[in-house]
Amino acid sequence: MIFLLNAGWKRACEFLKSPNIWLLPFILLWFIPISGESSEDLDDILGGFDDQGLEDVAVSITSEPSDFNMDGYFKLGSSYNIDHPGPNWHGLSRLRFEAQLDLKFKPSAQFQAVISGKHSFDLVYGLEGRSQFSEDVLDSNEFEFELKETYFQARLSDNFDLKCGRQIVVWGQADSIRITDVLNPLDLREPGLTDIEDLRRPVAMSRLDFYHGPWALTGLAIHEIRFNKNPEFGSDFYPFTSPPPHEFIPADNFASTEWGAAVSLRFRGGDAALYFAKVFDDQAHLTLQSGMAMHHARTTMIGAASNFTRGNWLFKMEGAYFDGLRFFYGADDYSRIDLLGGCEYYGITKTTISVEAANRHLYHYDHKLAQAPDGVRHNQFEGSVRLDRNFLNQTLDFTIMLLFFGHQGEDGHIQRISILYDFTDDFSINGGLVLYHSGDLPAYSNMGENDRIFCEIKFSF
Amino acid sequence: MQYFSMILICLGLILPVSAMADDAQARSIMQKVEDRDDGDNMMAELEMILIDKRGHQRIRKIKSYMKDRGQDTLGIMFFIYPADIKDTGFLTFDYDAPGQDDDQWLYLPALRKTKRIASHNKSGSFMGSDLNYSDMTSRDLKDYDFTLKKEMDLKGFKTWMIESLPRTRKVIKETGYKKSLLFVRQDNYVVIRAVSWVKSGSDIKYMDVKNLKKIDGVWVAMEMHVTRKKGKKVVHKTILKQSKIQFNQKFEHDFFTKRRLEKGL
Repeated sequence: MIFLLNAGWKRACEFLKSPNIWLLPFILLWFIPISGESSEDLDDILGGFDDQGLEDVAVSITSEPSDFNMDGYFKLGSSYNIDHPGPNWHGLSRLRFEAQLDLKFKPSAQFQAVISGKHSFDLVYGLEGRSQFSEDVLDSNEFEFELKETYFQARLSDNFDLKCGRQIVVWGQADSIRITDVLNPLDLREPGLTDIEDLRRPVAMSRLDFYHGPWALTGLAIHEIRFNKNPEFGSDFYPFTSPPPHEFIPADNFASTEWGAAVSLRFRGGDAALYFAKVFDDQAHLTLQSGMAMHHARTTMIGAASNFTRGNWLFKMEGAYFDGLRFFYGADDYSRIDLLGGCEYYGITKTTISVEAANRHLYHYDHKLAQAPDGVRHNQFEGSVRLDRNFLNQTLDFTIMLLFFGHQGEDGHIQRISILYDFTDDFSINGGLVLYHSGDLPAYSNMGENDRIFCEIKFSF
Repeated sequence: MQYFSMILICLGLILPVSAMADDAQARSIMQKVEDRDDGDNMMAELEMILIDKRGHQRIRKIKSYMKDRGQDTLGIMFFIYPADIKDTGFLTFDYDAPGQDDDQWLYLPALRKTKRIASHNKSGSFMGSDLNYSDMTSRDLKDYDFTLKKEMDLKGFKTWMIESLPRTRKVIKETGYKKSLLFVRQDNYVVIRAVSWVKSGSDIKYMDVKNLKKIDGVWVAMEMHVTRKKGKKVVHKTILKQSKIQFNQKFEHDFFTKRRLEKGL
């Protein structure tokens, strides 16, 4: 029976992995029937004000304003690997209980302080047998506590704001592909499955903003050096057969401080911004200096982003020039230019369609860089297509997303389909399917057998 | 301009593209509805109770602030309930100039990002309610033909029943309505009831003001019910209640900005 179920899943996955089937929802949207005017006469229509009912069930809530607020959620999330042939990774991959608590103290509009923390405990290791998992996997995933955004923010004057502490700063206009959004590292342990609110890792920084009319000028210093959380050795998403070399993390001192600045402008119909950052590359490179180790190069980024609306369309553009990139092959610093174009279409009621495409061009490319451990392309194309549609007065959200590397997805791609349903104001359930396709990029080399179904139940308070 | 006033006016400005001639008297009435003092620099708490056909209810609580700047209207809203959308903010610059799309931004706390959204299509539901975005923004009277259908007594007041028809399919597409009937009180030019035909399907929306109050010389709909029906069956219902209404508030110069949107209340 289990074999039959597995075979069924595999066939379903193969079917869903064919590129054309993912176009179906997009095509169907254009054939939603539109019927004609009602034939009811005026008296019938006016009678519609009578016998309305339902208001008897309406119960208001009361909420008194308070300087102190406590919010958060409890969540039970699971994922199940439906495709892996190996016994270690097939089956339940995650059964994680999470609790997040956010405390906010805001005595006035001029000042606020926030403390936020999240604790998670993954039951799957106990259920499956801890001996089956590597120490790296257990250390990273079984128990976890993270101090999330924790900061104070003060309005210094009519034009100045100061914000200090662990925080998340999102730059750029793109939603699925990062170009200028370089300040916060990501949690990439389960690609395509991390909640958007947990995707970016907060870092301690001091941020000063100056506002003048439609202009905003931001300067920031990042004091805490954190990098992406990648799949650990022993995880089914870890692409290599041997553990990674030691990763050198720069100390949190003045010499390591990362810097950033931004100027943004709002204008009628659009927004524009310029960015500068001097940060460590989140992507480490292998070096042989003083033994084999992974190092993060200090890079400089100069970028720009803009958007504007035309009718039902939102157009997005981003570009960034990076200098100081380092790789295993080649002793010199490399520079790269990343360009992105995208659009969102809002013309279909209840539906948003978003498309983004980017190309990363590496200057002075050496073909050795294509080899492991670098696996870097001269031109790396990335694309994403996303459709969101809601039903039942926005209680049910349906999302389909395709993220691909290489023009044909030959470097790897991910397809995700999910449904989020709000049972009540407090309870929601989110479930879906993620299909992974192996590709030529090192991170995607072994990903094709990690297809997962997932389900999460969340209680917010 | 108050959101409720906009809703009352907008729900009335809707019908199919037809050769129906415009009625000067009806237009004059609608102009008076449009010109009626709806207050300036207003703040309020808005509660929306969303009830599905099985009686299950959801609640949305919003703090809204509005300010007239010349002919344009600036608005900012902060969602304060339920928890999963708390701190979401919505900033809108509603331009009076014909053909000028509004500027709209949505601050999404989960993304820590302010997203500009294209505002041309206003037929989508506002936060899952039975109102759409076109109900929340002002409309141009020139986009509609008006006809005075009859006079009638309603809730003890003399009213005009006025039919409004969009002049172009473009307006129907943007607003989501193909026609409307408005019931305008003759003593104060307030729309106290409206019936609106949804452009797709056979659904009809019934808007009924349950509690109208004069605050600082401005008529305010304190409670309004919007019921969406298919035939005689209720598909969904929204009860909107306004409270803590204050006019002529002094807002800081940066109140209607992305700066404020991201910092929250």
